[in-house]
Amino acid sequence: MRTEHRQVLEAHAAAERAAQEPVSASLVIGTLDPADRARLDKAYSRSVPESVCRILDFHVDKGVLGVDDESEERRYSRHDLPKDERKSARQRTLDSVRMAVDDLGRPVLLGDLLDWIQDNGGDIELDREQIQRSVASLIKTEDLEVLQKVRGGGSRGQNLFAPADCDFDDQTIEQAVSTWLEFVLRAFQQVWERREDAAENADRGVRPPNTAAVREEAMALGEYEDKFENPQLLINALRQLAATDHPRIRSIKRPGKKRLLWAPIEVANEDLDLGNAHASDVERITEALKRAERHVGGPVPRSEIQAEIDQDPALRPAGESSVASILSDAAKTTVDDGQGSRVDRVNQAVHLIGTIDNHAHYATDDGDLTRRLFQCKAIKRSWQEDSLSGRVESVEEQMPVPLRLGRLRLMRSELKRYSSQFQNLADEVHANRRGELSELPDLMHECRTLLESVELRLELTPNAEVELPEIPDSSVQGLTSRQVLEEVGELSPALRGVDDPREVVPLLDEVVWRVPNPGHTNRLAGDPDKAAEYLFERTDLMQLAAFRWGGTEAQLQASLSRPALGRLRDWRFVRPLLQDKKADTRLIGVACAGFLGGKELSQILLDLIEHDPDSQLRASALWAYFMADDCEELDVSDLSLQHAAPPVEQMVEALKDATSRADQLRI
Amino acid sequence: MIFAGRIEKGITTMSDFEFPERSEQELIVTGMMKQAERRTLDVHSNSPIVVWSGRSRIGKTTTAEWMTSRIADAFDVDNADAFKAKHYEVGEIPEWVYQPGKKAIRGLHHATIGRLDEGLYRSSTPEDLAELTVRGFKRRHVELVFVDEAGLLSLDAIRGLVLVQDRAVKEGHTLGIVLIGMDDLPHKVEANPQVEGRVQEWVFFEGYEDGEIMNLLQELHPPYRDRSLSDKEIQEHVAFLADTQERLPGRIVSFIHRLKTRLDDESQIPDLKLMRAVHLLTERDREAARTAATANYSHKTREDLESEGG
Repeated sequence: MRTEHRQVLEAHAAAERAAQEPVSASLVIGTLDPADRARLDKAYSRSVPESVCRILDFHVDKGVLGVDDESEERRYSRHDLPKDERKSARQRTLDSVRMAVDDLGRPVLLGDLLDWIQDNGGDIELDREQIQRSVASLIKTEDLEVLQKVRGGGSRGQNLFAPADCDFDDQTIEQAVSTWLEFVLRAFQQVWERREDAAENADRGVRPPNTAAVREEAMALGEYEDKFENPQLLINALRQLAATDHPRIRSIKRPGKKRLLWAPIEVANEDLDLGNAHASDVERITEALKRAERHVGGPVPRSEIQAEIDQDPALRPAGESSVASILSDAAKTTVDDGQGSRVDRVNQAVHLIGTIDNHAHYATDDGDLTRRLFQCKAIKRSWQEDSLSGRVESVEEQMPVPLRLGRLRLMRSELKRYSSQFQNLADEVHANRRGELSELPDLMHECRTLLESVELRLELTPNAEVELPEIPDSSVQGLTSRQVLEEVGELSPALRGVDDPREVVPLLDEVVWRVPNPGHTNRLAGDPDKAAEYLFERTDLMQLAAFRWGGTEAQLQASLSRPALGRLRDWRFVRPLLQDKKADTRLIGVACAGFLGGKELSQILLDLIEHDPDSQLRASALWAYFMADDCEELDVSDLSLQHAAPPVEQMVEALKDATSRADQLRI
Repeated sequence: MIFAGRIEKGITTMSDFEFPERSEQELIVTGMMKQAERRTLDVHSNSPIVVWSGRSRIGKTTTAEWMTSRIADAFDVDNADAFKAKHYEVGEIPEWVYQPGKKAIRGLHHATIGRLDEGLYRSSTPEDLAELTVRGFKRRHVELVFVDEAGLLSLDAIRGLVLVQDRAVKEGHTLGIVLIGMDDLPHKVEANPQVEGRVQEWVFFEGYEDGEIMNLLQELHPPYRDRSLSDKEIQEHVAFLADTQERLPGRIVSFIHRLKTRLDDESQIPDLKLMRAVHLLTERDREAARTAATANYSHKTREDLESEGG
């Protein structure tokens, strides 16, 4: 019986004894101890008088108290019921069952009924034995219906019953079961549900709880407190749940680990995150790769895999091999058979899909969709690097017409190529756009818009005085790292200290235009010229070298040529500038020719050196001629530099002495 | 036939909007302009700094553009004395910016040679940039640079330009810099001995004399060519313009254009009343706008300000 009920009934008993007659609620209230009143006030949200009235009425309903409604004020009495009107134990048991079921809203076990009677001040004159016999009898006569048999009920009984005229759904019946085993199962299920949510949020498998975690959850439920005094009882309960004919859970034993983990019987190991249960570093890395793929939505570079490992220490390799090394090994399609030969790998968990910017990308499968995702990423990276939007804007209206036409036509070709690539990808994967592929529509729109803009600008650009190709030549000259060192290595303090050509890449990677290496075979080729995936574009490199380490003339020529050329390398668009009427335009042409090089332009430069009326321009052409490749020997002493003030003479002297590209750039 | 109009209730209406006639903007060369040109070129071989100052709308920019154009037309690569000029308008470079001298040199380079590579700019000292700019001037035969709105430059920014000039002189290349401005440019220049010492000519653009106003009138409105300043009516016109347009050629030109749009007969000389009315139309609204702006700012009503004489 609840303490508050007992206190009220005791107060009533005392008040009735004092008054020798049924008493009102107000007298009962007055009889309560202050501590009892405070307890009542704290226990219920209602006022104390109201709580007392309700308790008294409750016990009237249960037949514990009688009530005299005839008097002005409702009066309660315990002993007013005549003996012959008292019900049989069987009937009173049935009444109690009905009240308990009504109150609890579910069917009950014998243990539940007894608890309820005690907690709620039920028919306390009935003892346990009487109730037990009455319940059995009522079941036989079908006044009570058994709704479910409960395993392991023990003293609480195995029958879950309710009055026959009550109707309960399956869920209510399930919830009614409250044996120790079922209680432990319920605790486990609560832990499991929470961990399932956490796993879904973290996009990984569920981490199964150990016994301690289940114990913690069970204790928090506040039932069966006495059972927790003996820790073995919980363990036994879990084992029992796993060992029955129809087990609900199973244990997981991990190699080298003492503690058992528990999982629902229907959940397979593959869907679990067993942490240190990975058998090998390959499994750990594969798991990290899996997670990274899920996050990124496609093949990932090592950095993404490392990020997953950093987030979960359980994925760190246990051995001494690096992540890169493990990945590389796992991605191999053949393995050592232990006898010096290599055989095909049977189960490939890690696939090397390709490289972007010298970063290898991995995936757990190499199906069509995965390859398309990678392809999309590669094209997108190329699109970003090509910065076509910025390049379109940089074509200014005041630029000489041939250069404007050349650059716009070049960009038109590039945009059409991208458009075609995007469209092909979109056509192939139209139903399955995830990861990088989900950005395809935006990329296509951007490409289309830019192309329209370029077409419009071309329409508005006047024709050149000479015929120029509709499609500029997009081929470029690339230099390997070794060639870079040969050409400009001695100019830069940073490059001077470089022994291994591969060290050049990080020094210049972000600042010089890089182009695909047509001689590339594979990243691990012994010849660095074949291992390099990209080359440094020559003209861009020379311009950068001029800016960073060059002399005044070199810097000036680079200042004129770089904004003029952009990425245009087709000499046919520069030639008209060298023949323009305006000296300023010829000057720009000279600067461009110097950095582009080539026999055709060199010939025109030679002509300018010898015949251009502008002495300053002749001086610039002289420098450009020496910068360009394929220039013939030139006797500078024959040149007329009339009206050219110093330091042109000094420049001529320097050119005479120049023995390398670096020397020329220093001028 | 295409109608410009709207269709309302099945009726098509033609628009009565008329575009103003385009007119050739003829440059009227004045005595002030010729004087400025002569005095500036007289000192050119010394690689000078020349300061042109005067009120806004007085013709400084017009004179600079005119000179630049004349020099470009006259340039002959075979003439050892020939050179080219560049004119550009600076943006503000206040005192508090980082490395104002370098910024000034960059502005000069951008405007006269071409865009300067950002990496080169950042990694170069002002001296390096000056040397690069001078090399560019040499290649392009530029020996005279008009720096317009130079009053927006801080003292340190002007020193950046002086650095370029010094470099040019050192390399044997003549470079004259004309600083054009109003504001406090003269004070700024005089406050810095390094700059002030290099100023070899000051040209102050003053408002037109009566005779110059008359010349301008005759250029702008041919019917005035048949009249002279001895004519009392013309004297009144000139006096009116001198008073209302403050003898500033830019304002006089603008006023005459407005006036001409009100003339019924362009072969006639306008009436002084018409001139007064055209002037008042603009002046009244200008005053109203100023009063309203002041009222909104000071939370006073227009009546308050008017009663206060504001």
